[in-house]
Amino acid sequence: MIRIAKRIIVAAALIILPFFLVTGAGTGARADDLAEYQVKAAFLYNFAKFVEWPERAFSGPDAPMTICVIGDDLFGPALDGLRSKTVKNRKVVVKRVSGPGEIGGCHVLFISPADDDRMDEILLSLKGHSTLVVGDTERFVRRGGMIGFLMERNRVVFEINENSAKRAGLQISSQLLKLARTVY
Amino acid sequence: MIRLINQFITTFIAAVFVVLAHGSAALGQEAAPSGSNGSDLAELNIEDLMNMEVSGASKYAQKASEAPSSVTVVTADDIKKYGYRNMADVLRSVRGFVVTNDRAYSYVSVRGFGRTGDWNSRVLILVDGHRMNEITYDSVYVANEFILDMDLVDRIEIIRGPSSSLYGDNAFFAVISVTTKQGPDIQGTEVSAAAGNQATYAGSASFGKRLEGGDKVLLSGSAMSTEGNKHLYFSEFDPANPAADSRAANNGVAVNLDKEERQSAFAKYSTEYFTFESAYVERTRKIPTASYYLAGFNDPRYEAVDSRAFLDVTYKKTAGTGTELLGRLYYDKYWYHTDYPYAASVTLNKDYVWADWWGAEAQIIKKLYDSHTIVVGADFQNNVKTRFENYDIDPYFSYFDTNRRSQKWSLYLQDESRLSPAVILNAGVRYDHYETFGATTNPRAALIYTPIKSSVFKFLYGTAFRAPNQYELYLDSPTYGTKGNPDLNPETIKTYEIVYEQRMGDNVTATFSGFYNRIENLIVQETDPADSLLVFHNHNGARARGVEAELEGKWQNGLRNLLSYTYTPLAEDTETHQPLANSPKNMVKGSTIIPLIAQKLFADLDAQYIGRRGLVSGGSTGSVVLVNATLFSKSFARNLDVSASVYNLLDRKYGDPGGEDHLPLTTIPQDGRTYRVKLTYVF
Repeated sequence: MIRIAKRIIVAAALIILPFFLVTGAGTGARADDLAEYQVKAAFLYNFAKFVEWPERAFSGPDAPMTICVIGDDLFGPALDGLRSKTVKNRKVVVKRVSGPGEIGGCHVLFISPADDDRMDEILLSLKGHSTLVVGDTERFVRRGGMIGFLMERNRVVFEINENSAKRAGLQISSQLLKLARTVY
Repeated sequence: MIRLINQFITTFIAAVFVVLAHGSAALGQEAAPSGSNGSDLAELNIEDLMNMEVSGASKYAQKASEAPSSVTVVTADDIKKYGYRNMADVLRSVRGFVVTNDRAYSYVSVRGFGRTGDWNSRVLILVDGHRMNEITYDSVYVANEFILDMDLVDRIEIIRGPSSSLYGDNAFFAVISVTTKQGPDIQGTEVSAAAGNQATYAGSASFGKRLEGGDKVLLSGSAMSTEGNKHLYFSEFDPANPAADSRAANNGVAVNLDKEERQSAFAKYSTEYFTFESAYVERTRKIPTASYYLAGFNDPRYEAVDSRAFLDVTYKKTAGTGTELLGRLYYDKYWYHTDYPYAASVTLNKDYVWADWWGAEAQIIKKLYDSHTIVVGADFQNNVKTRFENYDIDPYFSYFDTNRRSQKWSLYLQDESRLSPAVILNAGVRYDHYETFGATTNPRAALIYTPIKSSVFKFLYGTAFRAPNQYELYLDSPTYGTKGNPDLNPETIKTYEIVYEQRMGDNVTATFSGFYNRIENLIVQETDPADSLLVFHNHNGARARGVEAELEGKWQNGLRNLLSYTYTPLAEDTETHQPLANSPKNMVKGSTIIPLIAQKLFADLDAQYIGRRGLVSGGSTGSVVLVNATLFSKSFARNLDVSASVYNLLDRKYGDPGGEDHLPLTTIPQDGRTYRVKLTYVF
């Protein structure tokens, strides 16, 4: 019995030990093992810099640049971090929307993978609007999206459907087109 | 006993407090930096962003919390960081699972039930949705004999409980669903080399790419070999032991009989709608245990070769709003042979199996009115060859050479309905029709209740079956001492489970589960007193009851902790009320990944306590504490990852329970401390 108890204590100690160690290591390590959507949030902001919107897309010279997410929000605080930024002298506004009825004022719209099966409906409701539609599901740009994220060796890259963008009156800079994995 | 339980409970509570204390501390530290970190990132230019490596955990949007089972996910990142060498290593770390190695094959036990010698016929393994269990013995392998090199695995979902309502045969205790990597996950040529003690060497080369136009390709080959333990000692075969077996020889030492070799290949090509996939493995192993009543101990001719291959074409298309079509065509092969030296230096007995089968599947997933997701599917499988052959070479004598064909088909339906924002009802049923024994229908129902966002309750009920296989039904050979039993019925299981998942802050999740399994009609081999032949009968039942608790913590800086406890107080034969063999009452598992240098260097520890396990001959093994440690360096030099692992760090001497075919051996000795160093380079 004593031997069993001893073993259990050893086992418990071994298993618990890491949790103690962690308290030390946790304070030392920097918080920079990046989550996929933190990087994707930074991309959304950067895309806005490389796209020209027609003037009518903004209500005035001081109107903000609205970045929207439809469906489940996978970005969390990373998206809110964009609020303090400006693009082309416009303040960035972040909006989380739940349905196609609320996306009229969006300049950049990210379609969450959870809403992928509503993509056709969303694209239809954007007809006549100049909205840069971004997503990360399979074949996103071939199904009418404009910029689709892809993963390559755990790195975020993207492809562009230039025609879709043109149809919405958006001009994507050649610099961004050059960095895309594929341009359709 | 009570003291033991008490100690565990105290330990567990202590652990909970430590984690919570740390979790809240970490939360406090990181709430601010993660926000500012996000905006700092935004200041980087696009080229820099494209070079940032991210942890791909959120790549899959699927919510495990809404699955109608208790699910554990192991990712490629875990496999690298913990130094898992094969699927057996992965499953050893999973709550409620035990892997038993008899130095021929490795066997998975789930929640108190594990039969050494069942070749894992009561778990279903899928590779990209393709069934890996073969059709003669229902076998599926998890250690080096598994079809995939671990470098090819993107993620493994371990789905507990019965899933026959969706997957049919073998989805009895659990389904292990493996997803392989895609070409772009490698994007180039990746070469890896590993070396360890026991003269263990492994190497692999993979090429993956996204082609112009979007098609994806992945090609890979790998090989490994090991000398194993060159001097395995068995006291049961030691002539110095007064109770030794009559075959005792060579001081009880099996010399050079633990060698193992494997080769495998994998290819995948995906277009917009089609995926073509093919895999192959061959594993050759010496068997040191003189199992199956071999004529002599320490006979180097005792050897098994197992090979498995498949071709699979999958069609997947999203048609319109919320409709997904899936089609699959496949062709599979399994072949095996063992040389049994049955009368030392005179007769070599050869045992062969060749199995070929093909099949087709179709599935439609449709969303209706936002609140229903309906899955309808049909399967057909044609077993075109199941040939068993067994003969002595000198003098030649054939015991059996039989070949049979058979077919099966099935229909299934599942509906996931959202009754209210907080309640999901998932109900399914599947009808399987076998040419061999007839039909079986298996339902499953799950009620998933999410009263607040951070709490999930699951109430689960399901049944599953394992069909009698060709070996059990038809192996007629009076000269070999066996006869078939075409009247066998499938084994069945009923499972009741309650799961409670609680998220605590952003980083910590606790899971509690209580389960009850009742098995009937277990197919057991026994001697018919009328003719003294071995025959399979539907015989015993068994039941198991237990609870599990798990705490998982994941932090932004890459720190991860996992602690679980499985308590299975009841696991018994329902007729004799004898406890089941190879069933530990207590299991504790813990693991941690500590980022020593952020994103560069990780120290990884995983530890398991496995309580005493009963033996087929009565008595039990001792309990054991196993600790494995890995130091993993990402981008050690440009494009070079390096890992160094120590397995069984404490060098514990222990044994896994053997089956009846191992007698007089009751436990099979396991490896002490072993090492591995692995280098991976991407061109």
